[in-house]
Amino acid sequence: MNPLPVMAGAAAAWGLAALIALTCGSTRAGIRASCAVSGLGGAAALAAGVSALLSGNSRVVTAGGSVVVGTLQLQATSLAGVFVALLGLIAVATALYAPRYHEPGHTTGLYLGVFNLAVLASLAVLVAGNVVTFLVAWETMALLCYLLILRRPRRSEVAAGAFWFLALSEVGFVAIIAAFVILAAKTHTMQLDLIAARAHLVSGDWRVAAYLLALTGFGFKAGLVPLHVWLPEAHPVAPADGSAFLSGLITKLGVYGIALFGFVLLPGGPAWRGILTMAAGAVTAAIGILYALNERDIKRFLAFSTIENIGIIVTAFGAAMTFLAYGQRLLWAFLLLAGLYHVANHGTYKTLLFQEAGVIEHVTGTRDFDRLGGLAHRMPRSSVITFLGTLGIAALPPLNGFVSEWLIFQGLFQGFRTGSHLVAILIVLAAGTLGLTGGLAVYAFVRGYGIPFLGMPRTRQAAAASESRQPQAGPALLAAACVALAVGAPVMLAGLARAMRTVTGVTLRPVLLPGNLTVIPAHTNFSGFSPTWLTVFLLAVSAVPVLIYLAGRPRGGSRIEPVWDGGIVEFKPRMQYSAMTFSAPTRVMFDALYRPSVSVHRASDDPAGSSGPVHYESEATPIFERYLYRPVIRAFEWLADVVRPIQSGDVNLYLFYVFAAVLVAYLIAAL
Amino acid sequence: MTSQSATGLNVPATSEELRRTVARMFGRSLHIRTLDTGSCASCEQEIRLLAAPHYDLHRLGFFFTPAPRHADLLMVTGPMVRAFETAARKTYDAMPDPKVVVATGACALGGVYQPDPFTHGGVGGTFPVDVWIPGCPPSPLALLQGLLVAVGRLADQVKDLDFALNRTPR
Repeated sequence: MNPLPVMAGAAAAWGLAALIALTCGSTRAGIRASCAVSGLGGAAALAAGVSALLSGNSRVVTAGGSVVVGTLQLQATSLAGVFVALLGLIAVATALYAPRYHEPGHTTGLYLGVFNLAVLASLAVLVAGNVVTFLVAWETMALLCYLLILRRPRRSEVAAGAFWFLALSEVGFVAIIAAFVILAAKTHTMQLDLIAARAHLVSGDWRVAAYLLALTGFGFKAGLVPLHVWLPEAHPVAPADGSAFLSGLITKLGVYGIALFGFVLLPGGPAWRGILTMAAGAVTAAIGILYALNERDIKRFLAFSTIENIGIIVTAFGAAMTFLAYGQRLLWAFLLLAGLYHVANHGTYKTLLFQEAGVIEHVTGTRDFDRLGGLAHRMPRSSVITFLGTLGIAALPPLNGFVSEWLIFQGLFQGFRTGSHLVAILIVLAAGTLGLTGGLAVYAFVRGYGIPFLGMPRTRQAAAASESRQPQAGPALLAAACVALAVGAPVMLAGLARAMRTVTGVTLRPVLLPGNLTVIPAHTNFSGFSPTWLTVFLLAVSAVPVLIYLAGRPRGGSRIEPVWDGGIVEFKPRMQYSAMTFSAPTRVMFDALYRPSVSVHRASDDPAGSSGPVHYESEATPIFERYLYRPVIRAFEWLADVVRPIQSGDVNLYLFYVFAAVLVAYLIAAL
Repeated sequence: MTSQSATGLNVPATSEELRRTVARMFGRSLHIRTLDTGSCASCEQEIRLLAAPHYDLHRLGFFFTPAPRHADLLMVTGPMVRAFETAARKTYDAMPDPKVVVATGACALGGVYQPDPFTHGGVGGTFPVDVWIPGCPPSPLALLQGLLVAVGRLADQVKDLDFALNRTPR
């Protein structure tokens, strides 16, 4: 089946959904209709993405033609198929979520219109077949996402968060343009498939320069440290489905760009290119999760966790490139596959968690961990759905995050196959960093689930929480997708391995899946496991205590007493762990990174009297903002001050500037 | 150890009887939870000395435990200050059956403090006391003797249990 017509159908549906939302988004029926059409588009995109994966070869369609801007060219490749399918799934989940999340109103109509257009633009990025189409789609996508974040522009911090997104996006865009220009100039074509075919024409230095520019440019969007600062600023101020889309898909478009350059357009290259990418990924993963651990705001916490997961994916990609430089094509293809599977997994559960964060915010009016608690009793369905997503993102078996992280680890552990001791050590070092990250991620998500959902409510709002009339279907669909991606992993990986053959040219399937639903990482003599049977086994094992309890249950005459609590008279919510005390050990261990500043203010300094209320504040130093971005911003402000005198506002003066510029241009041309 | 009391009891004989009872009825493992409800710590000092090498309560099969869930015997000292009553009651409720309560020392027996806004003046009103050990503080021999009586009461309850049929005490 040719996926392109289906994608066109999806695009048409999203366009129509945007139209409906913009025209009649102020009524509930209008929002429902728009979301229904948008959901249909999502289903079509999901089908198209899967069929792009199954069809195995890329389709190209060209339309129009102009000397100035080139042609509009679209292509459906298997690499993009993964992302298109994820986009479709997220669109369906959002369509199920949005009608209950948003109140009808004029701004809601605008927002949903922009959202559908942003989804459409993201699809255009993924199916872009030439450079101009790609760049136009990319910039459209970025600007529409900027508008998404500006949903409630009058609230404090919204404008600032959105501006962070826009500014870093534009800086990244410059680097992306430069990377594409190098390739287009050296290969004399704008078409991505021809660039890939003529990649050998790009000489070594230009090749490295183009790749590094692309890594930087797409790294801004993906959220590689230190280019990540927009994520924690923009995510909390966007509405929940917008944050979910930003984290679930837009950051993945950055990953798509890196994969496009690293695996399709410019495969091969010096080993240090891969090692650099891998190191960037490992540092991103570790720093992302460390910052997540000390975040009090649920959405900022999730944003930092996204940075961590992007780091894991990029580590896998970097290690893959390193393996290719040492001729290990099998591991190259395998790690690309593992990274792409993590893309699908993270897109699924992060969207789920952001949507549930939106539910929590609506129900309790806060995103502060320390004002929540006890929601599991008050919101049982949301808590089960969130728990599944949490298991996934904490990479605990049997959920899907475990499968992809296991695959990535198995790839990295085979660093010895490079044959170089130094590189093997570096790759295993990256694996070690990911190990630390994985451990901290479990810690972070015990906190991220336990503090809001377990224990006692810390505020009256949390105690009064109720999940009736809150969106359930969207997150539930994503939870089901998480389970499917875990239990069905062997089948999915088989399909993905077959599809990726068109990208890598490596037949991975018989090695990856020898049957019996078992996955084997590239080489048969290393390791293997079966996600499906692991799920069955874990369910069986967890049934054992239940059976023992049922068998050994006293038949009457037993006395039920409360849990022994040490004789405490009454439990108070304040006696529980708070989110910040729970993560205090990491603040002690890693204080070199956090550089916490503590300030204590007492109402009275009288040593004899009582101190009165004490105000305690502890804050981690925002290292990247303070030491990297602030000097740059200062430099630009200084430059603006220097340039300002020539901007007098006098029309005659501006005419003189034009004249002088033309004169200088002529003089240069005459020389 | 030849201390001889007026009633003809002595420490070695009492100890030996205790040891045999505990070994027979409790498999040499009887756990005591002590509860200080506001004592001056003299009773605690005597109880602690029971575990010292001189009397060596562990040799007889007694152990002290902080967890009421593991305890068979509750040893209460002090006049039961009102602020502690909830905790004391919770401790008693948290102990599994069968269990005995030993009120230890003059305060616990109600001989030192009158009931007032701060204390109950004795532990008898808080839970059913099985054995009263007088003394301020009680001598070690008195404590051993009291434990022997308590173990007897406990053994009576245990005999009523038919563990094989998993029935509760009648």
